[in-house]
Amino acid sequence: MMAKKRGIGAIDESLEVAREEELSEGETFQLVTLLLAGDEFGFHIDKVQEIIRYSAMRITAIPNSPPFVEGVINLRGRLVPVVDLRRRFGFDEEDLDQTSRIMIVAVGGRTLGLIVDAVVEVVRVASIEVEKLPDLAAGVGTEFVEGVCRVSRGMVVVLDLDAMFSAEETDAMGSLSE
Amino acid sequence: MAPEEFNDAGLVQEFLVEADEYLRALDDDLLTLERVYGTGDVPEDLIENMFRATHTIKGLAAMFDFDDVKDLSHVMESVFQTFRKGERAVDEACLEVLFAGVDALRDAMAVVSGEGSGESSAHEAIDAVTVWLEGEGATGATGAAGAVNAAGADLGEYAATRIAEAAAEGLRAVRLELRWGIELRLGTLKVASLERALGRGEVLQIRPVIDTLPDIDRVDSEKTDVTFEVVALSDLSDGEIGDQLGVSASAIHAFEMGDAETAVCRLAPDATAVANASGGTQHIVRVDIERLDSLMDLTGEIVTARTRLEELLGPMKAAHRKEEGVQEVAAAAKDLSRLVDGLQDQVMRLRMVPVKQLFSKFPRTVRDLARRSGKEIQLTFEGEETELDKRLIEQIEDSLLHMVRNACDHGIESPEERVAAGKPPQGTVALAAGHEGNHIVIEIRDDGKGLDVGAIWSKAVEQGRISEEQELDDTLLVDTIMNSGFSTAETITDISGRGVGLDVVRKKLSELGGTITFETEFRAGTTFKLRLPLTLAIMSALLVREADRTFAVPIASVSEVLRVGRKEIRTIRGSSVMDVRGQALTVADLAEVLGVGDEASRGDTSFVVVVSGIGHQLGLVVDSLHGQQQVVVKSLEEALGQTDGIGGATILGDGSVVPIIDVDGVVDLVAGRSPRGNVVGGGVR
Amino acid sequence: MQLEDVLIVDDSKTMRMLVSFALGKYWGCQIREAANGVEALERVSERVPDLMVVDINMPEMNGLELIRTIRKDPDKKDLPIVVLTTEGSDEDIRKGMLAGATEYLVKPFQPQKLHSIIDRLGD
Repeated sequence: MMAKKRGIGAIDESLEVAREEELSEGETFQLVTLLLAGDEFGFHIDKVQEIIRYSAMRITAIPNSPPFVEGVINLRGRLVPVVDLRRRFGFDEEDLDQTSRIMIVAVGGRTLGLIVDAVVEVVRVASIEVEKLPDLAAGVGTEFVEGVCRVSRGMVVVLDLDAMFSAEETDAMGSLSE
Repeated sequence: MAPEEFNDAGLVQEFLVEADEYLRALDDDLLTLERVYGTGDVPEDLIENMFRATHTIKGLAAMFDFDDVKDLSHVMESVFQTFRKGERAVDEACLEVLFAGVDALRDAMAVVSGEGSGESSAHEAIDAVTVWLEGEGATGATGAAGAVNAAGADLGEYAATRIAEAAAEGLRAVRLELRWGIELRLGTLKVASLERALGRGEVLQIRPVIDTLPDIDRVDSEKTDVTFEVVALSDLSDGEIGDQLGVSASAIHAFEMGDAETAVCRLAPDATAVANASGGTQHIVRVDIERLDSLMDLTGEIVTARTRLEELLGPMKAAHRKEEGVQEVAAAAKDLSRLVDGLQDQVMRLRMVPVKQLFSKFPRTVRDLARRSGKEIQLTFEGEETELDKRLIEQIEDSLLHMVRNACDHGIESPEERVAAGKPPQGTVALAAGHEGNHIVIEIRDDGKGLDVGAIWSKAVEQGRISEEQELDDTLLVDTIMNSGFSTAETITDISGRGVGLDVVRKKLSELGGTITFETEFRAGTTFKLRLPLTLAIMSALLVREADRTFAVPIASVSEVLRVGRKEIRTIRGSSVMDVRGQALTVADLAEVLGVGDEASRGDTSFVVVVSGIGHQLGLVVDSLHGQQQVVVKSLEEALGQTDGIGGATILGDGSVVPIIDVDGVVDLVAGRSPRGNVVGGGVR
Repeated sequence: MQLEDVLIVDDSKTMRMLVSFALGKYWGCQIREAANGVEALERVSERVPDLMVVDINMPEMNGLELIRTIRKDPDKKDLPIVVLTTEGSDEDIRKGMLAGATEYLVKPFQPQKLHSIIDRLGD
């Protein structure tokens, strides 16, 4: 089932609106979902700062930077590193196109840009289940997965950004490349 | 701050030779002066020559940052200046201090050239001269002070000269006190309107009357009133000036001079305006470090914007040179450029403070530690005038304190142990600061018991940290010592003691973009070396193109740039070298060093940028040069951690990101060493 | 700016070397020197430099006189002249600029300052 891909403006709006809403109805979670190699994943909304079009950005490669870091972009005067999630998870590389986006996230005190195939929507879910994890691609370590949840289209795998980009992970990324 | 290239031995030598000649001449001239001053028959250029000698020495010393020499020659120059102007007469007392001054200058220069030892006697000499300058020998002081309002008119040389010339031009000197509302945002004083009110005259100087400056928190951001004292020349009467300005004539005072010989009004000692010898006012205003940060950021943006403006104007000027509009824009851009330079200078200076500020916090600590442990420890400083960014000082204070404590607790032994080891009972901990390339280096040296590297190695092997074949190189040693795991598991208390907390220090330094290394000699002592980038956020860089990418090379590290043909580079034993004026220079392709781009897509001619790292020179071969510009340095540490060979990046006027070459890192890479303990070659595209 | 020939005028050899050092790095230009105003005028008459760096305090003929003399020649009114002034002496700056200098550089200076000025001069 094809998820709808929305334009940037709509997503930004959703982000804004979502942030303003209170989490009043008991424990619900708000996620920003994205597509990566055909699967839909989600990040907690409070981690996502903004979303920009991949094609609008110039990524400058910095020699001898950590693996999986494509380079840095100039985000209004700040240098933000960009990671290609496809590469990070070991998916096949495909050409990045008009729908590709860079999601600017705040993780462990740092700001990162993550390249994804597309950003789908901002959604509120009632629960994130941790038991019934589906088979995930090899590169997506289970330690990165917070759980799964259901949306009308199907399943969304919720990722734990902090786990993915903790300091130890960054070191481990280095050893993985050897 | 003297740029490193000026510390070139040849230049310093040249200075010493020239200064020595001047000093010899000074000696001779002083002897002559001593002979003839009483007779009133002083040869005209005698004073002039002595003035010029001290003036020149002062200027040169300033270029090299030889402060003692500079300060001493400055006060001596002032003495000759007062003679030149006829303010004071030569007397026996001043000849004494001048002779002593020349000796002290020689002494100070010996210290500079490394022949002298310890401190020079410059400071005593400076004091002695200053005492004479401020003594009651100052003629006309009381007379002039009487005529001058108590707020004090401390006249600059230009003003004084003009006042002396005034009568001949049919002008008279006046002093006004005016209350002006300053639009603080623009900071303009309406000098132009004031000058119009003076007829044919001119404004000589304007100073705020200190007492009327409002408190910092009562300053209205839009407008505030301050009283200014203006000294000016005019051909109009007080009444006429008053009318023009809209003030009553009583606000205008005739400026009386004392004797005809007195060209300068000396400040009466009890005057309320506070001024030091150079006529300025030392007024301390506390500024929030965050404001300084914003100011720095803003200045950085302004510098970038200026560069962009210049870039855009370039082709425009070339194509439309003749058009008046373009010429005006270009002229305005030039003015702006000059102002930006000035702004940058000022802002830089605001943030740089001598590391002495930091060092001076430690003697007490050391004393207490020594007392408590029954040890004898002396704390010495070197290079405490080295400047670094104020923010940085705050950040490293704790780390430095920890290391000093460490050196005292676990480095220096008790007096008995020391004597038993054949050392003097008193141990020394030395804090030394200096600049190395783009970094500031702070060393904590102790002559204590050092670390037994052999024992550490055995333990490390025992623990399985390293295999037996591996040698404990510097970086591994540092890691081992600093790993808290190691220290808690071990019973070698001196090592564990030394190690505790050092990983915190290292982490802190890493956050700041710095490193820590150490050297140790068992039983002789240990030296820790902290290296931090000078967060001079704006620097001059040479832009180069290599493998279709642009890089920035810090100008401070560049010795020269050469154009070479392929054939001039030869390979000897695996390294590429080329001949530069008879010396072999190691060269390397920048692309290869950084691991980017394809092999040999190089034309016949390339450029070699000769850079100096710590103790090594290296020629970086690049495809082309793209000019020199000032760039704002943005750190990549937070974003990317350690990037071998790359030290930050900058954003050019067109928004593109350009990595900045870390010269020391590149030098290490070429030598096959891994910079900062990283394994070389971690995944580059 | 096309810098092929620079004339440094200062009675101190060390200062001439310092300026030369600051200049010589990237500009690959020829540097000539003079120790006072008189010598400087001789050099200028042999060949007009692309840039002059002039100190004020010199024997024989000081920098101000030198600059004024040069500016009297209409052919040389656009010759870029940087006057070296002493720190703390605003009068030097004023006098130097009034005499006809194009730019001023305060001693002690950093090489970058000089480069910055040259960039500006490079029209």
